[in-house]
Amino acid sequence: MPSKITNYQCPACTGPLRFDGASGKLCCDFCGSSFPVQEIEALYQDKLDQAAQAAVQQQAKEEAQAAAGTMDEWEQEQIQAGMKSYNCPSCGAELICDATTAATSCPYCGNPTVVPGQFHGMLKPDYILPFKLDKEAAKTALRNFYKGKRLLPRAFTEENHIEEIKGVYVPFWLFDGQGDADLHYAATKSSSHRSGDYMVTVTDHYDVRRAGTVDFQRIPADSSRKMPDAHMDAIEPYNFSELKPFSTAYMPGFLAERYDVEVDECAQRARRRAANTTESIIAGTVKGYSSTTPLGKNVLVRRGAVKYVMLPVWLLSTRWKDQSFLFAMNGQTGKLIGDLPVSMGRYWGWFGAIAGPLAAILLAIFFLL
Amino acid sequence: MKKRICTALILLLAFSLCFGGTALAEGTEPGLDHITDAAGILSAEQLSKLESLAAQYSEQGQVELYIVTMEDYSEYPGDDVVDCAGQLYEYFSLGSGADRSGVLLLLSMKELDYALIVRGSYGSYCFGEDNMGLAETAFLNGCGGGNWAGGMEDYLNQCGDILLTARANNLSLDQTNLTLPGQTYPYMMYRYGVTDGAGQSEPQPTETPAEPVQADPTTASQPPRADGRVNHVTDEADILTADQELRLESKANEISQNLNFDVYIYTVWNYRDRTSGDVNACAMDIYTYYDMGSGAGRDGLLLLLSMQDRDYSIIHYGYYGEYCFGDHNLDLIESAFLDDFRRNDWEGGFSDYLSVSEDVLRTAAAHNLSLEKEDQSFRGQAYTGNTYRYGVTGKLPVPLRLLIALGGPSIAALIVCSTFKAQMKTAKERTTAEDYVVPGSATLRIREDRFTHRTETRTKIQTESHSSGGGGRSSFGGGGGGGFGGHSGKF
Repeated sequence: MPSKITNYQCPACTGPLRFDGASGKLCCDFCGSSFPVQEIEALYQDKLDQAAQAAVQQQAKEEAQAAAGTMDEWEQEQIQAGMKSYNCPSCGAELICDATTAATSCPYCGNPTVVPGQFHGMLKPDYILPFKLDKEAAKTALRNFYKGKRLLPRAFTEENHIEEIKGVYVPFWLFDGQGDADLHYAATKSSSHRSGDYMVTVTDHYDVRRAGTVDFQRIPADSSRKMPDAHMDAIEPYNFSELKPFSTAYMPGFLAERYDVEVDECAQRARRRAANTTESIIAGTVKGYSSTTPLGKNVLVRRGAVKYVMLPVWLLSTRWKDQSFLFAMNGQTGKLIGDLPVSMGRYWGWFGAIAGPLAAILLAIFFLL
Repeated sequence: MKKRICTALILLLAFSLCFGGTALAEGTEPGLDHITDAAGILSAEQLSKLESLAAQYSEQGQVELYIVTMEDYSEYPGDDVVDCAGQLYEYFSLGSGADRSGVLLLLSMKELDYALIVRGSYGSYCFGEDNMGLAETAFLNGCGGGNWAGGMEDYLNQCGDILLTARANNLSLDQTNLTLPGQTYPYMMYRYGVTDGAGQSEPQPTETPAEPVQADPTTASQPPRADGRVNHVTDEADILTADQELRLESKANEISQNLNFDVYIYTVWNYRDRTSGDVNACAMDIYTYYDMGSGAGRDGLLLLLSMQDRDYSIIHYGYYGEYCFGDHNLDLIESAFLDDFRRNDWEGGFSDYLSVSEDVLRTAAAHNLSLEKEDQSFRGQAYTGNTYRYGVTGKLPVPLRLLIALGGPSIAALIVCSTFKAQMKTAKERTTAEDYVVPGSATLRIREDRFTHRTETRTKIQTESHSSGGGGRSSFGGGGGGGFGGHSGKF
């Protein structure tokens, strides 16, 4: 029976292949061979198709069982928990992962695995932006980010925890569109001069109207509920000129998720951003006045083409006192962002270290000198 | 009339024959009337009227006023017309009283020369340079077109005004008991209607000057100090009641006794009546004239108010005065009384002045400085304002010191730790999409700027006025020489 997941194995030694961003090729850590993506793609196309087909059949079967009420209790529990199970084609171990997981690694044999079914048919992304920065670059950037954060708990800076950083292909919708703004203002121009004992102020009043359009291309909105929008926004922008047509061959060695937020839901965020920028650009053409008072506005955004893409992000999630803190780095440009916890012990320690000596000096001046 | 002319001619002939003559013996009556018209330019009626006027003013003002006319002064003793007038005054023993105060106007008709001279201590006191100028101007303006009688009448009226104003200023008119006989009263002690020496064309000595303060007509002047020195509080401008003045004097005396330092208050109506300098010069003159201050160094502090233009001067004198009342402490004292004066609360302002001065002196004493001014230990040293400042750190109240010592570092630490904390959260959702605008795609299809109407507002510019609050102040002195130093300004 065709497996629902696929391992990319080295044609030379059958070792696991992983994608190397620096070279843009798939490399074998065992024998050191490297292969162009297109070559491996061609080799594994049949397997990918079969795996995708198997996944689709499994999906149909589960739906029929669910409808007939004959599904295994354990399988029912899995589906309710949003989980799916697969068998590793290398070692046969059972892998349990999220329903949206599209690429992972087998916890038993370590082989990177891809779930082609997550990218089959309508679910297939249009493009992928391959990782450019490797894990070492991400770890170095993370260590530098932690440097100078005097209130950071020690657990965050321990090396074994930094090692847990993972590269993830995050699903995004990219929106094209056109913003249309029609703005109305009351504006004034003022001048003053002295006339005898009086200061005379002359004010000319204007009725100002501006209307125009602004085109947008590829406004990103992440389509994974697991990824916080603020973090994904904060590591923008990406250089979309390096987008490649989608292939699962870029995924070995990284995690991936398929989308679980529909286009229309993401479109609202993109529309809001486009509307704000359109209004700002059109309003910026009102110049030369002493004051402007908005009287009304009408801003529309017409949605254009939408593309489904996978964008590279290095992520490290840390649990601290029942709270999760996420570090994210743009896998292409290196821009990073992070929520970090504040160690109150360190906070008051610094407070005392600054206030104490200063207070001692002032008390000595006031009472002893 | 004929008799008068004959008398004049005889007397003048006798004068001329004696070549300056011998002055009449003391005690004899003057040999000339107030008006002697030897040149015959006045009618009998004019002569009589002028004589009556001159006699009246002379009696009221206690200074004899004379007018003499002659054909040609060169026929009489004297090198010039002024000398001739002086010789004539002495020969006929003109003037009255022990110092023979009087004013003589001599007219020589040939060349239209005139001389105006004043004699006697009191006469000189009343007719200083500017008042002589007023009298001269009144005569010259009045006799335009040959109207000699008119000019003389204006001259006499002007002299009368001057003399009556002198009387209204409570000056001693008992000239048999002049305390300073033979001395010349400096003109700055009294000037009638003078500002910068330009003089007034129509002096009105009886007019009460317009003033923003309510003077108490029942004010009684304080009795002089037992030691004969000037009081600590002298209210010439009459802005304090008797009770207020006594209270302030009592407080100043207390400071003097307890702290061995004299603090003075002096008010005048217009400092320009006393000096040609500024208000500080007037304060220094008063301090010097009344020999203020105590101890060998004459240390003291004086606050002078000049009410007409609301000027004030606060000056210190002496090494210890300079030490205690440098710029910083004078600023403190000024800030204490200026608000009160701006509200016309005179007693309140003076009371604050005395209180803060006392605080300064007590704090200086608490620094274990010798207050015995005969002690030469600090004589000659230059104490600058920097060596002592009222309210310096270390002398703040204990709770305030604790607040600063603990609160300041806490605030600093809070600011630093807040900065550290702000570094810990950097993720923010984006609300704009500038990075995704297609370059050059922004196009305007409507661009309208339509003029609708014009408005104009006129706002009156507020001008500086005394009532809007004190203007800037200036300071002087304080150079460490132990002399005068201080501040002045408007209240």
